[in-house]
Amino acid sequence: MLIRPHRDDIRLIGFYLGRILALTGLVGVLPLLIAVMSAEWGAIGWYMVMIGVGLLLGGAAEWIRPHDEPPLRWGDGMVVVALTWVLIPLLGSIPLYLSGRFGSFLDAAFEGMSGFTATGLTVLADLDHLPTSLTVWRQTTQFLGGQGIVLAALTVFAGGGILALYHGEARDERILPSVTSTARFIWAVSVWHGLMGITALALIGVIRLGYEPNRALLHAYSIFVGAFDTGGFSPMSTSLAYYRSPAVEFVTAWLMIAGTLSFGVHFTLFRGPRKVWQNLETKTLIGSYLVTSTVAMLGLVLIGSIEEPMVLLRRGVFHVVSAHTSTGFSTVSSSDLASWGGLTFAAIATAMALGGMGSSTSGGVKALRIGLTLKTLANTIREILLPEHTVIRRTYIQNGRRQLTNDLAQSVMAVSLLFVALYLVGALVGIAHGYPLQDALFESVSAAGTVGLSVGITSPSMPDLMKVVYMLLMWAGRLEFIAIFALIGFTISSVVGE
Amino acid sequence: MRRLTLAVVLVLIALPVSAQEIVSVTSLLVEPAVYDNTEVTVLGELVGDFSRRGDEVWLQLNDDEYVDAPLGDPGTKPNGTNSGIGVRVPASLFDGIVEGPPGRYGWRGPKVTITGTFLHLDPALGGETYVDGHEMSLVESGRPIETPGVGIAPVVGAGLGVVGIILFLGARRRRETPSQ
Repeated sequence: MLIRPHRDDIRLIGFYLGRILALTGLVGVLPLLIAVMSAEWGAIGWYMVMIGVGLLLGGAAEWIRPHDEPPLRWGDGMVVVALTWVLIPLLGSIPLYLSGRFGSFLDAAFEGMSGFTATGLTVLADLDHLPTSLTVWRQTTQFLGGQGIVLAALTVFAGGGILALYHGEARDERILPSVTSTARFIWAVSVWHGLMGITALALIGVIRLGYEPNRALLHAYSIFVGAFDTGGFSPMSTSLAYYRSPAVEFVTAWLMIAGTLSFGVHFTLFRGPRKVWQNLETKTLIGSYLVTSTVAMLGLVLIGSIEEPMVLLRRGVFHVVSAHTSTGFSTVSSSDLASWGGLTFAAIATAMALGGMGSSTSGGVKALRIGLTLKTLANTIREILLPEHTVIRRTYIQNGRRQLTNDLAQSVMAVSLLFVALYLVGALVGIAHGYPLQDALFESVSAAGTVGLSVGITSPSMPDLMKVVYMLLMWAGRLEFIAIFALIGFTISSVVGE
Repeated sequence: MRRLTLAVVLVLIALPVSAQEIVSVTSLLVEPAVYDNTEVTVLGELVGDFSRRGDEVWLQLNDDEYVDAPLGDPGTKPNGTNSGIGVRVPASLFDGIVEGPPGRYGWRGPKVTITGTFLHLDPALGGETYVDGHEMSLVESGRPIETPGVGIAPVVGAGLGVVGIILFLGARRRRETPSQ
């Protein structure tokens, strides 16, 4: 029997949502200040409307706050997270829409969802003439989303039930004893990489590329956010090809890889790298990088597209890293990418589908799940081959030796299968709209894996239904299903529960 | 008569340039094999940054809809994404022709034609795809694009924010007031 949620549960969900919306809206102060400094007078109102709507919803939420404020239950926390990731992109779309750079609010919402989920697919018109403040806001959506919107809120306010919110955003690792201190550690890691990355990129911009200092800083911030939060939005329409600089690509690759490492690995690396290499997740990720990079380069050689070793390394490996970290930066045109058929295309699509580490800013199935799935398959084959009653040790190393229980194996495989289903659904919708299978599958994996590489399907002229489907893919891919199932369960029990 | 002769000579001089077929950036990127290592002429707006690297300048040339109808001009609306390509030209050539900043928010950059060799995945430059320009001419100087004024939106935003703060404070006060 389903139990209808209590009125206080609904009020508590609304209260948390309102708070998170108000806090996110207040981040609009950053582009607002930049609009003032850049004399982009028309843009000031775009951010003020967003801040105003956030404050209004936050203020209204205070009125529905339950009087005794019970702690947020696990399921309710998941519902908060699922709804947060629908409402925040809508709130963040307000300045995008008011800028007049989108044909419809759906397009602006698509861009907002792509930004907050750190995907990087874009339907923005005339990116190359975007106001500086809007560039900063668009990039900042990736920063907030990559870090975790709820995580951002956790660092500001703490209360009962925040553990559910933390897990709802597809993070399952508590690095420090409390969630709040873990959240603050995550911010510290990001700020450290930010300072290093932005400084390095800005210096390259000024010294090597000859940019004006303020422009170099804008490019540096944009690339850092796009790389470390594995978002892939670029300040220029030609993505990283704009810079034509191996130095920029090298620093970006470092930031992308840093972004795809779990914050637990960052914590371990701060104390010394010994244990990290033993982890199943690390081994799987390195193995997968090596295989997909090799296959991608082999594919480029076979089709005769690129033959020189240095060009192969620069183009092939960069795109595999970009895909595997679920960033989506590209150094070639989408036509070139589409022309890399066969093995290269398959390797990049596979890298996008697999993704990075859990509890990182990257998307995709994630390395630990892949590793556990392979280990489960290996155990099953050994069971078949070895004599009956042979005892097989089902353990794996991930920050110490752990048991690979049947429950764990089932849940890992279930999530992996759900990702595959997501990729296929998106591909089918693309095929139904007349796109070739290969392109439709690539774009679908890119959206659901929150990657952002495109073979050209994603554009303002894309059918509205595909925009909506891709938005759902990005949403589901970012949250990794549990919070969404909780929302579906909550909705059903609200309607038919007793 | 001398004027007529001069006009004929000028036309004849200009013929080779004007007769050069302009190739769109989309054509170059979609069919790179057709144009690789051949001389092409591209026409478009210089946007983003002028990247000076020693005695050469790297440019971004866009030839999309926004070159002639930049967003902000009367009657314009969003019309697809940008389409652009990198161009390398000698600094001496660039300095004699281009004035003013590249295209950015509120500014339509200089519109130029550039003739040069199209190189697809050039191994000499680590696989860059670009036009190695040796001729350049200014078609139209950069110009301002109208940007929106402050408008009513800040007032609306401020109003919403004030209502939100009043609601917040009101709810807080209600919670702190002991119930009768």
